[in-house]
Amino acid sequence: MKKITFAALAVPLMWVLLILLFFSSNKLHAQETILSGVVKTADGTPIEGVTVWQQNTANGTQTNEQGFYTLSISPNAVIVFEYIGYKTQTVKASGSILNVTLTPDDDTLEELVINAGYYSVKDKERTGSISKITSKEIGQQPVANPLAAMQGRMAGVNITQSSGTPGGGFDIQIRGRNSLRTEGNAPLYIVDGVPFPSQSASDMNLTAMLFPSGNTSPLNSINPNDIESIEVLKDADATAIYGSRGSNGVVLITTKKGSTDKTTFSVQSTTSVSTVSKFMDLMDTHQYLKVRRDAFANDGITEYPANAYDINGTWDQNRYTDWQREFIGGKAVSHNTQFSVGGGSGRTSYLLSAGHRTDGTVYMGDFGYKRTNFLLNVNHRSANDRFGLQVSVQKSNQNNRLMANDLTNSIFLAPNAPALYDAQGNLNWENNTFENPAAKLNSKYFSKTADYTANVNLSYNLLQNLQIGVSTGFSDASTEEIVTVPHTVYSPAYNYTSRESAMTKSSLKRSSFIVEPKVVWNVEQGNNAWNLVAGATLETREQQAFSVQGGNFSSNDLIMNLANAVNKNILTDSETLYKYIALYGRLNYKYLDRYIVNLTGRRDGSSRFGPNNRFANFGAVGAAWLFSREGALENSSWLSFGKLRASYGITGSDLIGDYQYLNAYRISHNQYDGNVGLEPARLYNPDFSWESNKKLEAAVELEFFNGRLAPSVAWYRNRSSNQLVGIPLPGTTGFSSVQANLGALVENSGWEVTLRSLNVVKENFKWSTDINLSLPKNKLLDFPNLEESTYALQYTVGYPVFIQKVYHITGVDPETGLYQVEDRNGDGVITSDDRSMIMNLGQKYHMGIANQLNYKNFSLGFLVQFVKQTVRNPDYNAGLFGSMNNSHTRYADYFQPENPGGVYQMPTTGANRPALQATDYLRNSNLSISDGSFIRLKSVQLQYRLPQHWFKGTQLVYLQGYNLFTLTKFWGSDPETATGYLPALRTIAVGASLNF
Amino acid sequence: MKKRTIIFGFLCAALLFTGCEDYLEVGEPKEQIGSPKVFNDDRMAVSAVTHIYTQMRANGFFAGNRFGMGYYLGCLTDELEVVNPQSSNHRLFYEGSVLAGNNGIRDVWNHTYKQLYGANSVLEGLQESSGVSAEVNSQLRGEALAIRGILHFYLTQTFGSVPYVTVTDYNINKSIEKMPVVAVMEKAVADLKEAEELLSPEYPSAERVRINQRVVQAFLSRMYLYLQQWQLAAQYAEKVLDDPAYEMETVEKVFLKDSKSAIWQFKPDNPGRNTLEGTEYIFTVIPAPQSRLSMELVNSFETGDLRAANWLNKVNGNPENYCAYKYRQRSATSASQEYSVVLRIEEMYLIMAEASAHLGNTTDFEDYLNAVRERCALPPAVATDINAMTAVVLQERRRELFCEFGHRYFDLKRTGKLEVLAASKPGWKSYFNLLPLPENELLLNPRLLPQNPGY
Repeated sequence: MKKITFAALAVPLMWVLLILLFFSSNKLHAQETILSGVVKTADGTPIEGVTVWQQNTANGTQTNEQGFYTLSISPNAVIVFEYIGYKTQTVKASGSILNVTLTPDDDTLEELVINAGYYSVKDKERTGSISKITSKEIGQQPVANPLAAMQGRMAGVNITQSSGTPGGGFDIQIRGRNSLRTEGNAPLYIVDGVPFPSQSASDMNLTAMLFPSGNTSPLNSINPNDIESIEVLKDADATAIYGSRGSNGVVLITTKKGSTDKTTFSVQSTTSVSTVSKFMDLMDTHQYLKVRRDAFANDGITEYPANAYDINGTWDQNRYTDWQREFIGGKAVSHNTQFSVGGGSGRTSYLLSAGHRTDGTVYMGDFGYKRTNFLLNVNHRSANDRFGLQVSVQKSNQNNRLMANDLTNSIFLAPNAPALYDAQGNLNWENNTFENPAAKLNSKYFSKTADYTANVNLSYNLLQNLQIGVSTGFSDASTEEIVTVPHTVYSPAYNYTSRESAMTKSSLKRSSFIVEPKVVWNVEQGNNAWNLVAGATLETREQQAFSVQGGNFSSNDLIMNLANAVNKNILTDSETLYKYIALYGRLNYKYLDRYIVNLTGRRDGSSRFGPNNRFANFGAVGAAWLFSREGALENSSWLSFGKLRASYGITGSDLIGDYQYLNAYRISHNQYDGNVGLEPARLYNPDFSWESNKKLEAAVELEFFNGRLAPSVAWYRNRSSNQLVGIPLPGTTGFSSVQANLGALVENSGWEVTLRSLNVVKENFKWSTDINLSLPKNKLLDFPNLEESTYALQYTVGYPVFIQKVYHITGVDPETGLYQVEDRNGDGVITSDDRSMIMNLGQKYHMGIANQLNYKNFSLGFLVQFVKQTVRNPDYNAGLFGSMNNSHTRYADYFQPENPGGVYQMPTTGANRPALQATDYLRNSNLSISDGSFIRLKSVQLQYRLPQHWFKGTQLVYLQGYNLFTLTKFWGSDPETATGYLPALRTIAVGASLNF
Repeated sequence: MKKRTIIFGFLCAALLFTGCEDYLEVGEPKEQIGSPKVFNDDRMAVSAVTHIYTQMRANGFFAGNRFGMGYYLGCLTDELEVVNPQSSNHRLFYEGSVLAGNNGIRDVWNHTYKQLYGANSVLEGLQESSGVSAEVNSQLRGEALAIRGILHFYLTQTFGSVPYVTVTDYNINKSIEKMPVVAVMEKAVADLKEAEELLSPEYPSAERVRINQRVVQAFLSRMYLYLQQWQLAAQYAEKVLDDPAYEMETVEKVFLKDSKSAIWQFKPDNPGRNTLEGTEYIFTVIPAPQSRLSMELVNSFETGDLRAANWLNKVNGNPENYCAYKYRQRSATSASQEYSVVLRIEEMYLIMAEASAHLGNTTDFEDYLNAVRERCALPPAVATDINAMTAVVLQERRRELFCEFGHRYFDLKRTGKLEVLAASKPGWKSYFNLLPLPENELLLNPRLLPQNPGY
């Protein structure tokens, strides 16, 4: 059998195109009719600028000043009338005149159309679980990453920001943690139909000190302002069509499209200032020195040693610096400017958008992030309305300039440590007694990311009810990162010169190509309606990584140029290829507009598995009963809509990295004796295979009083088995893990409740509230041979996989002054066997309450986020209390003979080995885990719309806030961000949006 | 029309999906190569072995920097005094506060077993291959076996009972059991003896940077010394001593790359680079960035000892701040001048002296010991009874081998004299004769329980 090449792929494509051409030239039969009418409000005022379009096509127009429109449509077409602030109406055209009355938008779900990826579905008739936010919500928040805009707004979607540093990463979990591997939980991102990488493009070797796990979000390249909507597919019914890649949910991002005939220019500019939202309460010099004195006293040391600089007189004991404010207390100023022009004529519309964003940082030093975005969307329909074309091109450039180390972990510096700089502005090393953290600022990080994606969507109506189409996408992304480590980061005590200076440059190029042909077939026969979608996917992703380290430069001035490095080592030179192939289908059957069954299936092949395990089948069945359309309820005065839906199916995951099944050596960059080394690449296991996730869901969706109150409740249960994990191994195996399928069965179940309420609907005043509540539960159901496995200490069957087994500290032993650890197995000694107290880490529930108030030209939107969780507190990283590091003021309540009830153990300087051991226990004890629940005013936007008689068009000025206010009992810095890195920031923004 | 469309549709689909299986074939990425191929080619097989050297040079027992076991043991005993007040692994060693969770220990352990995996992988690869020439095959197998024996020797001397890994199969190694010290030593000796058979006294390349038969013999001599099999220790030391390629080097030249006393050196990673030891131990201003030589060590030198003059450096003329100055290059030079020495002939002299003392051969004892002393411009040592003789050798070893991969610790331990450290180290505990097994390792493989006493 020959290998399929691009040519082999292009041949069938060419056929498709040929057929399209053949039909479009031959069959110009004009079955279409001209439809016209007037669109008015309830009181009879004509509305100008209403978008009128034929559903599921790009065929549309706008009403003129008299509210009049004409549109040529195919027979029996469904026509959609859309206008901002009014309910969208969908009407089936019959005859040539269609007059419509629009009612003000009560934010109801009425005929909301949901993008489900390969198909669209009316919100009311969907059988799957899909959450959606639109540009309206996204635009309220001054954020740089689309994921940040989703935070707190969707049930079942948990997003946490892992660092407040610009360009950093986010963790997203959709309906809990399916995989035991963190990176195995990433959802599938689809931007305008093209899969978007979920893995960080950053070289972890360069950025681990800057971002948690060196993780940067690939979605940083997408400008949230360019997004029309984000849909999250959650249950089997919605995700099974994505087969092996749908296990962790699917995030569909749709960019804005040009939708008007009239040319509209829009300019938007926002300026914001961000600061660290919460500082930790650290000891001042007085408290700190008392701890130190007590520490020496407790150790029986009366004469302070020569290296106890903070307390032996070397350093000024009256000095006090709040190192948090020094290192991360700055104000990060951001500017975001957006320009767009959209319009079109007749059958063609376009949108061109360009954006530029700059972000400062809260760190000391001159650092910052820049992004430029460019988006072009063009839609066209042929004159006979059979052929449709959609082109979307996105380009973005990101430029990040930071220090290579997040200085947040230097905040525990002794508060009387010397000044960072001397009077001349040079680094102060205080006669070599001070390891000056500011020296780390000399080590810099530069990154340049350029993304380019293009998507072309062709469709052709072969017959009235049969459409074929092909979607193709290309993407190219390149990331170049540089970290410089000049010799000036080291103390001058080392006497280094630029011979010791080093620089590492890594580049990662990703390119992908996807082609997805599909066929859509609709049949309506009496009370039966069938919809069939079938298609295929061919995808290739190529990734090239190259990394060079240079050392020994003539001068630090030349450190950016590798050509000047005497030693150059190529650390990485790799090329990986990922190929994916699939066939999918969806059959939707509707009876009497109220009984809906939806079947989806997919057969997937992935190159990430060994030759024997490459293919797998996935599928789901979903059903919905729109009981409100039953005779008895049809005309109910209180129940306007009611639906029961359920689904069950299997999805999978191949998120394990490429080539893991090979038994291979890899090139190591180390040289020895004239040879470049070859090292064993991994432990060899050729037999791992797909992991699968069985999802079950049932839900009820209701609307009362004409949509004024719309609650929904969903229950889900996902069971993930055959998990692909790096099974942790003891060091004696030579590796820390092996890639394998784990027999464990993990269950994520939970309830998701949403409520939409239109509290007040008046002419001049509207108030609506959206509430989403998620109650996730996680449980390890089964784990064969857990006791024998390397997971024995980590997991317990019947408990969540988030549990931590910890030591139980019962208090401070009054005799030793140290933490007292419970001897849980009663053998008289404290060993790792006593680390058996089970503590839960993770969320109990999260809730978002969004309010939108409109009064005349003012609108106020705000989101309050509630999270109930337990997290690691800073004690998890606690140093020895009493050593030369500052502590939280909580520690002021420490054990001393005069304070026998102290919560923390007595300070010691390090000579006391049991104290160190006790500190070790503390890090892994019940005390290091605490309540990290918070209530946060996540975002606020106050917007004023300038009176229309002043300017034409929509002119807005607004004030925005993000992470404005947090109520929490958590005593660390931010309960959301990983300890040790920059916490999420508080932002206040002001801006204006002009449209004309 | 309808029919035609449908036929075309099927045709397209059919065309697309011919050869799905082939489409998914991605081959090998360019930075990886199938294991069997590696061992079908001399040069690649050599690269698999030299990689282990780079690993040993950088991590574990033979890393010359402060993350290597030698530095930790120097801090644990009385060679180094940690000056930097910030918490660090070596500071914990210095203070006698090593816990099972110490990540310095964890790293040394993991890196060492990774190196062992490399050695076992080479042995297995060569066993299945036919493409490597017989000569290279036996050289490489000899090197791999030697590395396996030497690393296990260090492991067992440091941690006591440890697993002896001889295969790469993780299903075996993940639940492997500990082996008592005696058994580990026995297997290590057996591996080295097999290596001795396979290797020749010639080095496989121009420099003394890879293991040859003499390296193996020198290690065997040391192992027999530790096992107190004096006859064999002397016998193996002699094999090396008899080779004219090695001779005792003047004090200034011992650590130069062309040193004649070197039996095994590590070659630096890049031309012009020198040693990790040079970068780590030398300091030029006070206080030292990390640590300085302990005054116990400095004061242990007799007046006039050339080693004191050459290997100790009084920084800024301060009488309390000495740095180790065996290696004098802190940073790169235009061409490398110094190589890190793992094994050198002076140790063989001292082994001969010690073994001879135990064997009652006073003449040899004096000859070999005084040969070492003479080169340092010291008068001959005189000792009559066995206790005095071993004490003299121990003292001489301390001065000769300080800051070279933990000799002080192992010498005190094998002679049962670790307790002398209690005098200078207030936190000293008798159970420091073993380091704790890494905590995480015990959690992942409970068969490694129990933990060493005291931890």
